Amino acid sequence: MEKEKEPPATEQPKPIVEISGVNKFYGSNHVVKDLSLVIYEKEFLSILGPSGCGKTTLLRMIAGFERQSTGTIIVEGENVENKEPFERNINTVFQSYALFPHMSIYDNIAYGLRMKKVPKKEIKDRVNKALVMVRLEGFGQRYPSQLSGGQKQRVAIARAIINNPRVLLLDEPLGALDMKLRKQMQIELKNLQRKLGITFVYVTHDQEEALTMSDRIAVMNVGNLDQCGKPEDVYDRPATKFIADFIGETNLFETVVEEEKGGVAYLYCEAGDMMGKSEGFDPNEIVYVSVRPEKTKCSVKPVENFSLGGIVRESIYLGNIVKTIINLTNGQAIKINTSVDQPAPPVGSIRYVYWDIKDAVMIYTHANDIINQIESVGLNSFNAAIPELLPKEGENG
Amino acid sequence: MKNKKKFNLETLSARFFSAFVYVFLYAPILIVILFSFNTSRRNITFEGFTVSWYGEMVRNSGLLESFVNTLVVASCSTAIAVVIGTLTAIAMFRYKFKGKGVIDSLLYIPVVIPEIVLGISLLASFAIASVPLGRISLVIAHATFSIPFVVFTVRARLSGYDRSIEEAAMDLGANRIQVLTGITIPIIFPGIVSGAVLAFTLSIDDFIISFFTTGASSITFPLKVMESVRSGIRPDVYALSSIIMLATFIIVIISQSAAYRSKKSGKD
Ligand SMILES: Nc1ncnc2c1ncn2[C@@H]1O[C@H](COP(=O)(O)OP(=O)(O)O)[C@@H](O)[C@H]1O
Ligand SMILES: [Mg+2]
Repeated sequence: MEKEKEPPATEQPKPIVEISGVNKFYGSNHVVKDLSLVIYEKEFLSILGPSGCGKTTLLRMIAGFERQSTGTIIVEGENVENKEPFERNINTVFQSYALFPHMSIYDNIAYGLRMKKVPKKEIKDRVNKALVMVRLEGFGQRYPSQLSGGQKQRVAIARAIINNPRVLLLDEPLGALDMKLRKQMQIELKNLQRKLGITFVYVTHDQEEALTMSDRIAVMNVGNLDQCGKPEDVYDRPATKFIADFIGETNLFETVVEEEKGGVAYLYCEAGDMMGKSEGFDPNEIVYVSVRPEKTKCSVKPVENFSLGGIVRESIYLGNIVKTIINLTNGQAIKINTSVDQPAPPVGSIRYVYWDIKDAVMIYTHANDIINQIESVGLNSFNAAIPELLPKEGENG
Repeated sequence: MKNKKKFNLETLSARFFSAFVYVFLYAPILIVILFSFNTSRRNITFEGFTVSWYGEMVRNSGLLESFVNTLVVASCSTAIAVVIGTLTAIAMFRYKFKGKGVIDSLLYIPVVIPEIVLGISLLASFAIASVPLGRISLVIAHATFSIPFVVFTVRARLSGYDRSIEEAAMDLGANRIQVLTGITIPIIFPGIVSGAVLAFTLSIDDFIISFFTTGASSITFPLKVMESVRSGIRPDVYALSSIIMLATFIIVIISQSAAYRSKKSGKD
């Protein structure tokens, strides 16, 4: 999908929601962990993470349905600690739509204005305008039970935006729709956000959706905010192993630094040697290396400083690309995407995997920090505990 | 051919069976209506048509008074049961608390307990609290046994209820009272109505508990009828019974069609 570039920001974006040091516990379950995040005016921010990572909880704390255990949330410069949902200039689109079943579509959309005691005449104008905006003209007298999923979703959006909120929170709003409708609604939502010029905070577990729609993406992982940045930042420079794995396809290697020389890091892993970018690593430091399938290459003869030999297992034609799977000596399956006009290596042949140094994303594990800290404090007896402190394989799904 | 015949036999027997059930249910009722127009004082043979018992019924002040009393008691106890039962159902749906399961099952006990036991217990309670037996004690007693029924019907309606509907209303600027009156209650209203109808009919119907918990000043229609059984039922009792049946019939039809309509529009 073609991504339109935002017009260059001439002025400094103004923060509208500032979350700092927020924790949320359900009993002993630590659901949101010391999370800080600034959301700016007029931006489309996605909160992306696997199911159960605390996205909904974070959204509910912003909306005011849930109170944080510790930390502060500031909306439009005001601490909202003691503000009820109806006192916040924020509206929510719920995943289940949450339309009022006993009211017509018109009354559903008018509800917020009626609560604010807006004059009848104005309500009528604004509701009709909202119906046009979500392309539901003529549906005003129907009931929610008479609408399709996509139409209900549009009513839920109209009902929320008619109040002119500064921030619109959307909790997996397209989750219940089928693929085709989803794609269409993604574009509609993005256009709507641009037209209205309000902040959208969009919760999703679909990384593709987040990449195509967002100005910025905040990636959550078991209650932590791992990274927040532009889609291309998150995609090209994932901050953690989890993100490299979660967003898009990648080939991930757990490596040890042999040495750094002349801007190049020489590394080795179970399957063999490789090279990466030099980023000031110490010898013996553990580093994850992530290389995207479209950046991974293979050759018949070993490339200098690489020794990742393997057997070509499969070659899958995907229309616009060919995906080649190579099994390394340690069993790891390497994915390589090449364009269809390049010859694919024959299945069963031996190939050597390599890449350009600039395409290797180096992910710092902090394992050495922990070891250094423990050593500097002189708690050598704690060394036994180190393996448990290291990031575990599979911990992040 | 053979198949068709078998099918016919089956439908025929099914029809016969359901007809039998309806005759069984409705024949006694029709007999009461018939005998309310009987010229004879005794109800063994039908001797001739008259509407004079309906006039007699109006003149029989004791009978009419008891009926009015029944209606008053039923209305008051229903109102109390609906308010308490609805709020209980909402609270039990909304909040999780320790011992919720126990409270849940405790609700069933007044329903399954023999009425006579409940009647005696209530009588003892009124004696201890020195509540004089009369209309007030009767209303309290009827409300007591009606509450669980209202809780059950309202809770059944709540079981498919999405809490985020209430949150959406709050999100749009409604305070807690507005959410309750504008969203929650309208959505569960069919449940409240059927609970109220149930409570009202149970109250009108009740003999055993009323027998224990009322005094001479507050005789209900069932008590009056029982009293007159000893001296032989007069057709004016039939006349009043016929009118009650007609009224019940109308109420049931109205509530059924209301439930049907809300089912059609109320489903999301
Ligand atoms: N009301 C609640 N009570 C207890 N635990 C909850 C509650 N809501 C959510 N959780 C827990 O918090 C975690 C995060 O949930 P949630 O925020 O819904 O995740 P997500 O929206 O990312 O799927 C889950 O483990 C969930 O079980
Ligand atoms: Mg969720």
